[in-house]
Formats: sequence, C-alpha cells, structure tokens
Amino acid sequence: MVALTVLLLVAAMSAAAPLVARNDPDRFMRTPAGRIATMQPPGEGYPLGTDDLGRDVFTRLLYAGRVSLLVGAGVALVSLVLGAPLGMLAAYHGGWLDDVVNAVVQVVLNVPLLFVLIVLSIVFTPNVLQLALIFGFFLWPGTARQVRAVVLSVRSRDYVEAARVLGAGNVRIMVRHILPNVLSVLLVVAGIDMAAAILAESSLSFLGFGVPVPLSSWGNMLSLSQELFRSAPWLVYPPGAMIFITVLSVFLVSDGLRDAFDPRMSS
Amino acid sequence: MLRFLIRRSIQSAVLLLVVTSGVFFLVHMTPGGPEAALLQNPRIGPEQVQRLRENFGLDQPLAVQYLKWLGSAARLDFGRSYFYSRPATDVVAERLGPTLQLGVMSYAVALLGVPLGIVAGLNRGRLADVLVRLIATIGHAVPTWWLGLTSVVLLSSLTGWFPNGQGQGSPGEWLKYISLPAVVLGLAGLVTFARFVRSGVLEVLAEDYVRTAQAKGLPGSMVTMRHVLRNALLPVMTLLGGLLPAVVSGALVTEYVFAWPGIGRLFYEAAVSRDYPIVLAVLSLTTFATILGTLLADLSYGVVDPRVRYTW
Amino acid sequence: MAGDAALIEASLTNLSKTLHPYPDAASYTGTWIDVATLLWGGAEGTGGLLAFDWSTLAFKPAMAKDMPKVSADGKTFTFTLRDDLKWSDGSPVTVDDFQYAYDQASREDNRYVQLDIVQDIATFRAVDKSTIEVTLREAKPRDVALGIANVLGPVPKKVWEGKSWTDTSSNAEILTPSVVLGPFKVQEFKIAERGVFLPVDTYGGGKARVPRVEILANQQPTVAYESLKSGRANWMHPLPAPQYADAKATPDLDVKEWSAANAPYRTLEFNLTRPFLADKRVREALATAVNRADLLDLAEQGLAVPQYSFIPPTNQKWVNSAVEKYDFNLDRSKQLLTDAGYKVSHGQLMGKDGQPVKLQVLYPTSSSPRAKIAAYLQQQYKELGIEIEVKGLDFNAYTDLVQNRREFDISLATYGGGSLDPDLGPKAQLIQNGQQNVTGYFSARVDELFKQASVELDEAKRKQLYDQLQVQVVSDLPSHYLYALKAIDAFSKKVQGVTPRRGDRLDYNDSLLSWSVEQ
Repeated sequence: MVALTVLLLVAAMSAAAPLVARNDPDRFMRTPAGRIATMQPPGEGYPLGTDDLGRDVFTRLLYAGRVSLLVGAGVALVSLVLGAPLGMLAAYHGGWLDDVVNAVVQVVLNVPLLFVLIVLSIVFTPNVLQLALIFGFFLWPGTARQVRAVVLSVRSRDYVEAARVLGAGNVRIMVRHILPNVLSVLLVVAGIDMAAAILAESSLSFLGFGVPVPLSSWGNMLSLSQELFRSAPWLVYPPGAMIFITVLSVFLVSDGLRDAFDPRMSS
Repeated sequence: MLRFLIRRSIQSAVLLLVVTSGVFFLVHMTPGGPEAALLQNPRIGPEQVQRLRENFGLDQPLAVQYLKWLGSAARLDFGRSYFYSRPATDVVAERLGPTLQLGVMSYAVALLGVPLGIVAGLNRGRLADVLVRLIATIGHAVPTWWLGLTSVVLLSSLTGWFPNGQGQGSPGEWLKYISLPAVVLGLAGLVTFARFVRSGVLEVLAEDYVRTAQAKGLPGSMVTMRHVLRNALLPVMTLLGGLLPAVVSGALVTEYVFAWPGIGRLFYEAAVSRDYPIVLAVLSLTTFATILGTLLADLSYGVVDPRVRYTW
Repeated sequence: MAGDAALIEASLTNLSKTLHPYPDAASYTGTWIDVATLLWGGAEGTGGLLAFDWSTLAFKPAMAKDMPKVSADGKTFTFTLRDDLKWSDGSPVTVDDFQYAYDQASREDNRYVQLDIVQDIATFRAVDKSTIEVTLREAKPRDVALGIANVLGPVPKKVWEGKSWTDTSSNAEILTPSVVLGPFKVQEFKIAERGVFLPVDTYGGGKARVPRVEILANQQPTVAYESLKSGRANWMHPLPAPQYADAKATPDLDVKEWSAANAPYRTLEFNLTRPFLADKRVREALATAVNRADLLDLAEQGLAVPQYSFIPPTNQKWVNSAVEKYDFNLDRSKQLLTDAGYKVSHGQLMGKDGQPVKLQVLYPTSSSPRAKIAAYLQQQYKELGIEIEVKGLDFNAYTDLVQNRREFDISLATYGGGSLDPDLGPKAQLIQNGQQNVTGYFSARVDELFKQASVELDEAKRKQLYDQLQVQVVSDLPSHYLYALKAIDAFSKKVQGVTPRRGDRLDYNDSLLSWSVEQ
C-alpha cells in the first residue's frame, strides 16, 4: 500500500539521517562574516534554512524523525501492552478485578500531569526511551477502557455463551472469539496514540519535559516556531508537513492492517 | 442494577477521597511555593517570606494542613486563593461558565464525527471514506495550538475580524466568537469519534447476523440503524465517559490562543504560581467529573447494547 | 476626528489581581504597576509627594509644592502639600489622606510589600493643614532618603475609613476603587478578559487626551502581534524579540526601542560551593569561552548591550567601565583549565577524581532566551571538553532549587528592572547571606564596602565606593555578567506623542497623558 511505503520511506530516511545530512544537527552555522547564521531563509547551503539558533533545519528535520517516530511507536506500544491485557481481564473476569482496574484507571486519569512532570523533571532528565515510557503510562487507561467495553460486549454474545456451554476453556474463548474483536480496536487506538504522542511531546517541551536539549523532534521544532509564523515560515511548515504525512500514513496503515487481520472480512 | 449503582457509588466516593488526597500531597511536595514571586524582589527578606508562609498556613506540618483542608473541602470550602485574595470557589465559579460553554460546543463539533464515521464505514474504499479519513487526519496531525494560531492569523489577515475572547451582547455575537475555538478544540475529538465509529461499523457489517439479515432481504436502513449503530456506539460511549471531565477541565491551549477566560488557563497559572487553594479546587472538581463520567459511561453500555449484562 | 480613538493595549498576561494602592507581596506584580500607574498615578504606581523624573534621573516635586526642607541631621523632611489636588470625585486631597495611608501601611498585619521601607520611617505626621513632616530612623544618602520619605501616597480616607484594608469581600474598593487619584478611573475590570479605563477630568497633571484606555488580557504573543497588525490593538508592551524584525518592516507599525537606566540584565551564576567551580581560574575559563556577541545574536536578536559589572552600562549614574571584561578568548580558556590542573583526554575534560567533567546548566522554561543561552553553552563548552546537561525547569521549581536549595552548577539568571540605586538591587546578590546570593559568594571587603556605601552621605564618595565594589566583585567572578536588555514596545503609527525616556516603562511621569490616537 502507498501509505506503508511512505511510512517506511520516512522511517528509513530518519534512520539514515547521518548519511543523508551533511551537517551536524547541533552546530551553529556561521555566515561568511563570522556571525551565527540565525534564521536564514532556505538558500545557499541550507536547503531548508536555519533556525533561531543558526542550526541547519534540513538536518535537524531528519534527525527529528528518529526521535518522533521512536517516541510515537514507543508510546503506542506501552499503551497497548499495559492497556489491552488489563482491559480484557477487567471485563472478562468482572467483579473485584474490574473494580481494582477501574480504581487504578481513575487514579492515573486524575493525577495532574503538570505536577508529576515538574517533580519528575527535577529528579532526572529523561532520555527519549524513558520519555516514551512515561507518556505511554498516561495513555494506557484510555486503551484499557476501550478494550474493556469491547470485551464486555463480545463476552455476552450468543456464540461465546454457546462455546462456553460446549466446554471451551477461558483462554480458548479469549483467543478465538474475543481477541479478534479487540484487535481492531487496538489498531485504531495504536494509530491515535502514536499521533497523540508525537504532538504531546510538542506541547510538553514547553514545560521543559520534552526530549533533552539539544535533540530535535518534529514536535519541539514545531513548538519553537510558534512566534515565528511571519518571520520564518520555513521553520513552521516543514515539521508540520512531516507530522502530517507520518500521521496520515500511520492511520492508513493501521486501517489496512485492521482490514487484513479481520478473519471475517472477505474481499 | 440498583445493587450495581450503590456499589459503584460507594466505590466512587472512596476513589474521590483517595485521589484528591493523593493529589493534595503531590501538589504540596512539588518543589517551590507561592513565595517564589517574592524571591524576585531583592529587598524581601527571609522574615517576610516566613510571614507569608505563616499567613497561608504553610508553616504547619503537612498532615495538619491536609486534615484542615479535608475538613473544609467536605463543606465545599476550598479556602482563599493566595493571589486573588478571594475564596477559591468564587474564582473557579467565575471561570467555569465560559469553560462549560466552550466544552459543550466543542463536544457538539466532535459528535459530528459519529455520522462521518458511519458514512466512511458504509462506503469503505470509496471516495467518501477516503475524504473522511483525510479530514480526520488533520485533526490529529496538527497540534491544537498550531491550528488555533493559523486560523487566527488567516482569519484576521483575510477578513480583518479578530476572534478573541468571548462575544458580548447578543447571542449572535456569542455564537460568532465561540465557533472558532469550539471547532479547533473539537477537531481532535471529531477525529477520534470518526475513527472508532468507522471501525465499529466495519466490524458489524461483517458480522454473520448482519449478513444474514441482508441476505434475508431486510431493508438496508433497518439493518444500519439497529445493528450498526448499536455496535458502533459502544466505543463512543466510552469516549463520552471522558466528556464530563473534558468539558469541565477546559483546554489550556485553546483558551490561551483565543484568550478565552476559562478554567484551563486558571489552573495552569495557579499551578505555576503554586496557588494551592485554586489548584486543589480545580483538581477536586475534575476528579469528581471524571469519576462521574466513567460511571455514566459504564451505565450507558447497558443501554446501547442490551446484551451487556452486569453479573455483579 | 483626529486623536479621538482609544488606546488599546494587548497584554501578554492576566490583568492585576488587585487594584489596591498598597498591595501585599503576593499581589505586587508588573501587571499591578500597569494599572496602578493609571489609577493611582506617580512614578511607580502610588502617587507621591515627589516623583522620580526619568529624564533627569532625580526627584522632583509632584504633590508637594517644592522639594522638601531637610533638617540639619539629614533625617527629617518637611513637605508642603499643594492646595489644588483633587480626587476623581472632585474632593480635595488633604494631609489626612496621607496620614491615614501611613497609619494603615505601617501596620504589620496589613502586609504592605514595601513595609520594610515604611519601617525606615520613624515618624510621619501632618503638622498642619498643608505640612507633612517625615523623620527617618537614620540618616541615609540623599536619593535613598528621598525614596524612603516618598514611599507613601494618599488614600481617600473618607471612602476607606472603617473598611477592611485587606479583605476583598467586605471592602469592594480593593477590586473596584470608586475614588482614585490618578489620570484614569476604572470602568470595567475583568482580570482574565479586559480592563477599561476612562480619563479623570480633575487630575492634577491635566486630563488625558485619549478618550479611553483598554487593556486586553492574556494574549498569546503571536495573537497579540496579529491584533496589533490588524488594528484591533495599538500598543504592545513589550514587543517580544521574535516579532521585532517583522514589526520594523511593517509600515503601519512604530517600534520604539530604548535603553533604560534600570534595564534588566542576564548573568551566569556559578555555584561556588561546587569544588570544580570554586577555583577562579575555572570560572574565568568558562567565562572567556562565551562570546557575548554570539549570545546577543542568538538569544536577543541583537537587542541588548554587553555588560561587564553588576551595574548595567545604561545606568550612567553608577556604572564603572574600568573593570575586567572577560572577553571571548577560547585559547585563554583552554590555557586556564590546564593551569588549574585539568587535562583533556579523548576530547573530554577529566576531573580531579578521574571522571569526565559534567556540569548542569539550570534555567526556567518560561524564558526562551535563556533556553537558547543554555543550548549555546552546551555547544560551546564542548570545545573545552566539558559535557553540559541542560535542565529547564518550571519557573517556581527553578527559583526553589536555585535560591532556596542551591542545587545547581550554573544558573542562568536575569536581574534588574527596579530601582537605580545599587543599595536596593545588586547588594542582595553579593553580600553574605543576601536574599538573592545564590552563588554563595562572600568577601569581607565587599560586605564592608556595601555597608559604608549605604550610609555615605557624600555623593562623590559614594560613587567611589561603588566603583571599588564593581572592580572587586568582577575580579572575584562569582557571576559572569552578559548583557543588559533593550526595552522594545510596538505601537500602531496612529498613536502619537510617545517619547521614550530613561526608565524601563514608557508611561512613567504621566507621559501617557500626552499620547493621542488617530482614528
């Protein structure tokens, strides 16, 4: 599929950033006169211009891809790995297990992210991986609740009851009947979480809790440009375009996967 | 059903207590305090800082502060704001109105995602589906503030009209000023609804009983309305569980871009300046809304899908 | 008709949370000064017997007929009140109003932010219907003494008497004063939305030319700038540096830039309790590795002036230019580190413990220029082989960590913007246990010199003392002074009559009265 190719291309370019880009993403470029080349429009030597610290935008954009894709994928993974099993267990077993999961969900949903981040940011400066883990931790309740809703619905369907009456074990029921339904929800959630993560990193970098300086991510490149709409449009549109293309591809790929894996769909 | 309700209500009350208490300690133990503003003034000495803390009751042991707070919070008295010098409940109440308005309107925008998702699901692979998914991507690929800023910049340079703050006077003015922030805020929700609904629709369309119904020749619209809707709405109900807290907590970024006098901005400023009474008042409110919203969502599953039975 | 339109300011913050003429410490903010200048008049909010003239940088009579008579011991100042002063409701301003203000502001439980200055006054009494006598506890240098004697402005006793000074619920005057002193009165005031002010006809300095002043609260910077360009607003104060270039290029906009005598300035603060930074050679190496010119371009878009001591170069009254400059010299940096006994191995500077040297640079995330300085330091110190961890913190947490807990290696600080007098500003950073002494700096000589200068009555001798202080402090290098910021405001070309003086605000000394806005 076209989307898949695009996504893979973006991933490949980001991975190969050091080979494609000629400049160091963190170095301040200088004008011939020796001053730092801040906010140069695209042109001689800078395919996409320089940012407000005189760094090459094209190079930073490529390296940013690594960070953003990693954060996005990592967050989606954590959210699914934590949310799906808990949601399934809560709905399938019900009773006290459901109450416990619900309690944990409520606690996580209501904790004020701002304060947690401030406290955490004092204690340590997270690297990209740790950032993904922390973000993912705040997203899993949403996943769990969606999964739980689906499982509740499927669990009480006639054919599941029938299977149980016929003596099928819980695990078998879960895998054969419930899991396929859950999968489609998970694919939708994964797409949304990945997009949300890439964007969340953008606003959180405001609070000093984005990727560590001097790393670039599409999110923090975009947020740095917020006052520069008129003065430096080359800082505003490229990261935005990359995010758009990536998110679109992710959505299309997840929809495609969903269609492919649904056993009941025939073309 | 009644047993379920009672049981969940008790649980919710306990949860409310536990979460707000945890939040109380988290907030107070975050480094910094209301005296940070004072420390910028070179002439303020440690005695003045101490006096300020005493005045706010911050010199007492944390456990004592907590018990005092709990006692008055139970009476819905959240103390006096440090910086507004007014009861925290008054300040919050003042900003709640605009937030509720914006929240409800943005959710109305988001709910447009439901029919869009149905259209996309029913027309899988065709133009309508692709178009809807394209629009849906915009909502999720673009940060809210970016969308807001761009729309403000574009609108003011194209039409000279400046969307800023609330409209005063007539309902027409009110609608004019709330529409853009509502759209910007609701877009992400619209996308989420559309994607979930589309997925739910596709799933239902593939179910045997639907195909059977189709094969039996039941009218198409009947098939759609009853089976598809019901199943597609299940994830929507879960998302609606987040309606109440989202509407109440406001959206900081949208409020910032459109200078909307809501709770989101109030909370952020209170958090930054460590105005604990306001922070805790807002957090208690949103916790209550989240717990209530989740409860309502769970109750709604039974309405949407009668096969979902509660065995407890 | 020309000159008929309102002055509309797009403000980047909330409006002030109180309109009290005597705010407590929590309410005394820049936004309070904005509105207090309109309502209560004067140089910094409270209308006073004298006004600090920001053109001559000296005091001049305002509500007093002339400069006060000073007693022989320099402690007692006698003012004669003008007889033509009126409140906004037309009633006259009397000495009772001043006495009432002093009686209230001096009470500890009223928590006035400048209580420490009020407490420097021994007695404040209305001798007769038009004479006020202020006696200080001790004799101080003339400017400082006048500042103390002038700290109080009148409060309309007949309106406020009997009401609570601090409780907003029982005293509506605090949030919506009905009778004010200044050139404007409040028509509408919603903290998170807008404030609307109308001119007072009876103001002593004359009636303002603009028919209305409106302040739009809480504008996001890009949005505020757009509102300026679209004509929705006609004043932005300040104009953020990123918009400067575009504003200069826009024909409809008028950008005023000026250097204030009390300009804010940025520094690198070194934590002297850290072993690596305790050695002055190391600090000098770190200082000379920084190119001020680069930082000006990078962080401030060129809108600042290099600074070399704790007095901004624009404060010509007190600055001493004959101090060591620590100009950019990377070779010298490397040499100094070698002299101090540190070697570079595989591109990393090795510490005395055998581990590579790592430093943490702390800054508040609310300041994007400082974020850029931090990024610059990270790159620049790589040349010396030093690894820098850049840590941006929420402003409140940053203040707590740096000022209360001293948990940092290098902190990026911004000071200034208040009084011109060195006794009232930088001293707190440099004396032992000073409130803002985050570096841990202590020099017995410096403490002694500050003490002498705070009571030295001879102007010339006082200047000498501060000159010596600047030389000593800069030589000890507890902080590295970077640059002082220029002030920038942007106006629509329709606003006429704005002339910058030497203060950090354009509306000092009733200048707003002469502004007018075309339709």
